[in-house]
Amino acid sequence: MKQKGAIDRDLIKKVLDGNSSAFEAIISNTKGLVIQIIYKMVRNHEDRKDLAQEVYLKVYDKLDGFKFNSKLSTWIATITYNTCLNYLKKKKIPILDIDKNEEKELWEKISINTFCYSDNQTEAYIFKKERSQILTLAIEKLPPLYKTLITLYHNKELSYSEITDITGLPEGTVKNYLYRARKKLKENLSLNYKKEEL
Amino acid sequence: MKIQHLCDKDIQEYIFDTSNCSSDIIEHINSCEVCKKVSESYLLLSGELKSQPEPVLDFNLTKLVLDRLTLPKKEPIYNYLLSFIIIMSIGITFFTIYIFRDVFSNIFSANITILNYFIVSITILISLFLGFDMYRSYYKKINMLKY
Repeated sequence: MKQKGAIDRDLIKKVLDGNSSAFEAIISNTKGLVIQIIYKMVRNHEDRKDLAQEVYLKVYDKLDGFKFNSKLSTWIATITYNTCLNYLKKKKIPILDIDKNEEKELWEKISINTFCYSDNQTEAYIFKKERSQILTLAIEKLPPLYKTLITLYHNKELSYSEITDITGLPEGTVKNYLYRARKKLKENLSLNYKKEEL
Repeated sequence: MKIQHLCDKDIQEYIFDTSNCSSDIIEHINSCEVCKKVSESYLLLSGELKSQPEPVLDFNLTKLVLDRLTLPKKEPIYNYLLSFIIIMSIGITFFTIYIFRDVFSNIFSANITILNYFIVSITILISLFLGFDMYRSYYKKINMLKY
């Protein structure tokens, strides 16, 4: 961690001295995380491309103001998240687009028997089909914020506190949204199973 | 120990937030086959989520960004030409003042009239306006360069 911080410091110093290859290194170190956030929050391909560039132009512009209160990657992820959030606001796309009635039904259905039944079916289905593809489709059906949180936690393996730093959401809210997102994923997988059976 | 089966939230807490999970939940899952099965299915889901492929870019992000960062550099020959023109202008101005030094000295020393004051005031006023306008257009262009 300390070593990583020292590398970040060194890279930032070089960029501020006008070394463009140091900025190239920053891009290649962080673009995986940036792209994941953008791809999970934005659907339009051209907008994704523009946003990715906009993020790094902002990073370059604000780099001299980076205070090392967090990892450089976390700071860049925060800029990415906020840029996407502004984009969604501008396009009037809801970040948590969930049908309230559907959601209520879903979260009230905590009967363990129902859950286990669908769970075993889901598990069998997952094993039977190409699991990864099905899951990708199920993730795509989630609202932008859930998709992002799932990716940051499970795919990029960030801690709750790092996710809190990036999104600005309280830790309890992050945990709650993650719980709902996983539950929603299971529900989507079960629905998929039922359609296949028909 | 809980007699009823655990709810989904408790099971997720056991799998994904073990440090904050109560001992009751841990004990229950260790002794209940049904809840254990549910927790295993969450582990499976977690593993699958972890192995989801990363999005592949069909464009060179680094190149696009660096191209936009690098401001166009002025050609060295242009710099030399600009410097040459500035030096020549200053030289011509001083040369003209030197050639017409008698005329200028007459204007400002011998016959100071209201007309002279008027000409000088107008010149200063126009210079001020031009200077202000140049300053304003310079900042406008600089702001346009900022993204």
